[in-house]
Amino acid sequence: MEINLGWVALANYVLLLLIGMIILFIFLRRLALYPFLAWFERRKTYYLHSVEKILARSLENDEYVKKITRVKNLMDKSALEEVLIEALAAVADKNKRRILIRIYEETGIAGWRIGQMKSFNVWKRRMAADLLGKSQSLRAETPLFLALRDKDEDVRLIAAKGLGKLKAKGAIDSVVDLFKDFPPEKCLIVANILIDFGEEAVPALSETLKTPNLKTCYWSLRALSEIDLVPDGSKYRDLEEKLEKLLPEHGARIRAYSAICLAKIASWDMVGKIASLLEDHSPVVRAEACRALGILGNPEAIDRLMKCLNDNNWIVNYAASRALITFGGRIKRKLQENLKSSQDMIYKRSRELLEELEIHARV
Amino acid sequence: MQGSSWHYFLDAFILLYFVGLNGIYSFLTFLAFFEVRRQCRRSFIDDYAYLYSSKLTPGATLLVPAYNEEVTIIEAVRSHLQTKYPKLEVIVINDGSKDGTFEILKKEFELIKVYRVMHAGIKTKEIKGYYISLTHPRLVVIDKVNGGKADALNVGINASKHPYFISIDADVILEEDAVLRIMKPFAENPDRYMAAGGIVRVANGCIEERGEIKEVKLSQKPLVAFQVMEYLRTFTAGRAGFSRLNSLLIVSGAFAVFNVEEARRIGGYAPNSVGEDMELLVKFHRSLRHGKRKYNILYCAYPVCWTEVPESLEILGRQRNRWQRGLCEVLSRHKRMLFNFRYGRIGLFAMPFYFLFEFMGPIIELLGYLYLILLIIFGFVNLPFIFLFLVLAVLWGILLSVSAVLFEDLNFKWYTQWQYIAKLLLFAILENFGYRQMTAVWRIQGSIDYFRGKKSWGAMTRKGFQPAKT
Repeated sequence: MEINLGWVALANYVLLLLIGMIILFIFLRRLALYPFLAWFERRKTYYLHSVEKILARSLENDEYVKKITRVKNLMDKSALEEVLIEALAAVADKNKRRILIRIYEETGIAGWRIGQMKSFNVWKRRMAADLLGKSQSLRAETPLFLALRDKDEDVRLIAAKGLGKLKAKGAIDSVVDLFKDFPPEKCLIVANILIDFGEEAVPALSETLKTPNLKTCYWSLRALSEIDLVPDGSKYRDLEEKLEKLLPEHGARIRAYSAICLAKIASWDMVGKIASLLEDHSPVVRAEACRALGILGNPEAIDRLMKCLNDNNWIVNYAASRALITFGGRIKRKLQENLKSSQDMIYKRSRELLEELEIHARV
Repeated sequence: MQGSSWHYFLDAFILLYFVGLNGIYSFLTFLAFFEVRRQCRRSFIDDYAYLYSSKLTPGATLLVPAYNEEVTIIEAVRSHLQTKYPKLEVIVINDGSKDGTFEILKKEFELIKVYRVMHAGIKTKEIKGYYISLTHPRLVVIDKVNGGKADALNVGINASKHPYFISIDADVILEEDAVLRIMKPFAENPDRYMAAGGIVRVANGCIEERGEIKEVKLSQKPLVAFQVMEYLRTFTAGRAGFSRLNSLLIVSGAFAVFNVEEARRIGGYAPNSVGEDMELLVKFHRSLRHGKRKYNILYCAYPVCWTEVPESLEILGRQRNRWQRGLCEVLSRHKRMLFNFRYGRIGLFAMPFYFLFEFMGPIIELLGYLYLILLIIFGFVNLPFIFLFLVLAVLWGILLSVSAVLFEDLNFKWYTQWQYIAKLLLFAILENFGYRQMTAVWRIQGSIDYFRGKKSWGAMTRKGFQPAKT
């Protein structure tokens, strides 16, 4: 087979050149970055000591703060910003956090990042939104709120996270709206943000339960199912009614999570309606109904849960056993009776539960 | 080249094979660059603190099969228990160890025997006992009759109470947030992701302290440095490229996540299998494609697990022999998927790739050398051409290896000292002069052993990690 030697030689030259360029790039990059990185680390160390001094004395004197954290240029701002963000994540004391946020604002870093929120570069906007959220500066609230309408999905998401960290109650409705357009992976993060808002997010989430948009409804239910709801008289009457209407819904997961939410806020009277889901054709619904009955805590559910120990589906009989364990010693007698059962799974699960109760009592 | 028509055909075949092999590797490396960059940029913005504190994060079970691991088991289990993840269960399956593995675990973690109901979907060897720890609520130890790694993992799958399991080797060390990072796609989109593999790094030469890698160093031993180079190329470049095409056929058994329900449905790992990690993943692909489900199997560039690689030629040879036998086994069991339209990219690209280049590659390489010798003996050779062609082959291989070092330096920077990078680049060049040929011989031996019916794993002697100086 005739192949021109010249082509092979050329290919060799090209490969050699590429290899040489890559190797050179690796070393030159390290050489170029090294002084910058070393300088950056030195400035960080300086700012770290300065900030530690300020926090140790809890000083708020303007002049002292400005003097000790002199910021000359953008590199300085980046270094100081990194120190402040790390300190804010580590420090729990409210006064110290206030001082750190003040330094963040007074040294112009907040203003710089707020300016970047209008940048054409999407990565700059993302970074700015992320850092403003972590800074917990109240000045960040408005630009982050505006960023909820940014054309980039990630900017909107990061802005929502920031508003969550700031506990900006006014943004809850806009954050819930994000469920409409976001893909599932981002909806999870939005749900987490709303969970962090706690009971304040309940009215907005409750409103979405009427929506025909199943995705929004589902994610709202998921968020609601994890919020620590404290039922207090008729506080959640409206939500209870909406959840009851969702129980016979054709979406299995919607039925499942409605049961969980209902169990958290409803009175023991709901046991019948939730227990009816134990006959559902979907194992997910049956399993979550078991979990809901465990959360509800009504002892009337014990017999129904005992029957579920024999469910053919593993996740259901497992969920039933986890729900039963929440009843503690009250189920001991029934479990001992179950040891005589001819049904294999009932016997096994009962034996397992009895041993678990014994170990809990011992430990 | 000169000569008759028979060696025109052979010349054309060799040339096409060479261009095909290197072309596809280059293409995968090109794809890998974007995939790794995308994942690393995302990990910069992603907030793992959310995942850690979130009540919506799904649970995961770490399955640690252990056979004669008394040297490293305590360090490894301590490291796994420190893993930062909200709902985590660690199940150590003692697969009939003949040394003191189980006794050491029992004493160290104050284990007590309990009765537990396990899923009976996958048939396994007899279980002697199920133990929980009084001091570490996350830990479960299952003692069983020896049945091999696949059987031990199947016991773990049956015992798992969470929707996902993570298979790890007993001798690996996980980074503190490795599980958070690898579980993130499953937390965000459980319907889409069915399995994922994480990057495996070489721990030889690194300083370890209390189940954590404190300082990353490159081993002084050339054999280890060659393997580091190989791992960088395979993981960072190769698997990331396959992942981008959703055609990943191998996730390292040292650190991989699988959906429990799907694993139970397909019968778990094949018993007595030596390539159990690849076999399971191919079964996943097969089952999910049969069911016409939309899914992804992902390679995660960032989560890290550290493992000990062989430091002697003998043990390395045994390992590579086993890997090749595993590959042969999988290709043989799932040969219907080869060139089968029904399996999409898996059947038309991934499986043929592994057959033509990973299985046939060493054979064709060796035959190529023999062919060259014959050509020289019979005088049918154009020496300048042969020389240039061989140089081309070596340079192309070096380019792929050097690209992997570039990925490492751009995205991860584990090797902070420039001396380590220089050493890696040197070994990227040197591996073409002896090391690659040696692995080709081992792999051919592996293929022969497979067809002879050899099933054993071979002993892998552990040294243990290098402790921090006090």
